[in-house]
Amino acid sequence: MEEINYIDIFEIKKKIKGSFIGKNLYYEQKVDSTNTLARDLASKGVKNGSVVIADFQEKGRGRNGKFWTSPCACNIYMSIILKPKITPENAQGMTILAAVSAADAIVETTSLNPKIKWPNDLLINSKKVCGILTEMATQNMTIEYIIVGIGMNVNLAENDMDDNIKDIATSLLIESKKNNGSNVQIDRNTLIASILNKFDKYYEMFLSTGLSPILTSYQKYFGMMGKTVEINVKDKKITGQVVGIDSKGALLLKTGENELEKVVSGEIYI
Amino acid sequence: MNIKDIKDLVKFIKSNKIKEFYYKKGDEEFKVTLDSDEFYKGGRRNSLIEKKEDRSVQISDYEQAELVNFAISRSNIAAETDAAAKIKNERLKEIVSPFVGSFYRSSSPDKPPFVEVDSIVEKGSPVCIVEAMKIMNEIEVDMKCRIVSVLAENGQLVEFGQPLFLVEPL
Repeated sequence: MEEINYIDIFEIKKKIKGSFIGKNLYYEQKVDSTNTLARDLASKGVKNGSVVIADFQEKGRGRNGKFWTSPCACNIYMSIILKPKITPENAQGMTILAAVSAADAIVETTSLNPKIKWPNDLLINSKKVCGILTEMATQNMTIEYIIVGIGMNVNLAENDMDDNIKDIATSLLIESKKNNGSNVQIDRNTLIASILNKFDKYYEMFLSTGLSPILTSYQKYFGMMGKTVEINVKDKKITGQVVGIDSKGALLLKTGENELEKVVSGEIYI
Repeated sequence: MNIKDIKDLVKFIKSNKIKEFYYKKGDEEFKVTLDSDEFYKGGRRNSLIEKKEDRSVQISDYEQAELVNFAISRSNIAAETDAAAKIKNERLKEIVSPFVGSFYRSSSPDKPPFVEVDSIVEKGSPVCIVEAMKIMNEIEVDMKCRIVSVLAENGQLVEFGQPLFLVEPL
């Protein structure tokens, strides 16, 4: 029987370089969802920058309550708790900096080249490898807390993947094998620490200088430029060519000869 | 109710010798009291009515005076109603959208809405989600309140500062 390599919280602690993100780590072997636990902790007043990590999620969630499959102690399921003194509108930058942090960490830890699908899905060879769900609670236009949930398929083998997602999802291990024949398991402790270290760096940058320098890194990974996409918002369908990202991270689409549409929400189909 | 309706009503009240009449429909209400027995006994007023009956379109002086009274009475009641509504409205608060995004009344499509009209919501409870850039912003109320009206549709794109709910603080 194959040995299970559980996450080692002390190994992660040793690798944390930042001054803020991940100074407090909460580990559970099995949770309903790290975002749900993080929300509970946030409302009970845990420290800004605390991180919840689990080996198994029983009720992993994506956008609009979509199920995020969490089958083994082989992936990353973690949630970062933040309580920044910024406006809810500015908090939209979190989604951008989370995507860039995760992409940087993959590049640092593997030989793979992830691409970002707006706003923050990470794809490798057009298949999803990482999803980020950010949940925020506000009262009277003031942020109570933000939870940045990151789910990444790391050592998930093709055989262990649900049949219904095989065509649209992948893992770092599957792609490394395709890329260079490597079947070596990726060290999740190192990868988690790397994501948190990158997040710490970008978060400080975001609070001190805004989103602009992070968008420069985002552009490097952005994999949708020039593509024709269809976006559904309620009953409205927008079709256009991706021409860029604006200063707040909104998607810019050319929808006609002289028409530009700014998109902040909706289901995207490439 | 327009002026013609009021005229018709005057006719009806007089022809049926009704002394007191109270009308209420929606936010429109008024009360008419004709307490002068003399009115129905004849004399000048009666003759004027008869005169009016001869000229069915023309309204008597008395009726005109009555109409003015009705109008004054109605406008007073309307003013009182407006004042009461204003006091109530001043108590009501709007919950607005913190940014441009999609408005959702529940946490996922298969879940029931967080709140309905007349729901009593405790401080810190969520009433909706506004989503943009895959940030799901749960908007919580900062006081115990009653939901008076829901001002946006599920799935609708809402603007920054757009009112989403009208609530009555409790």
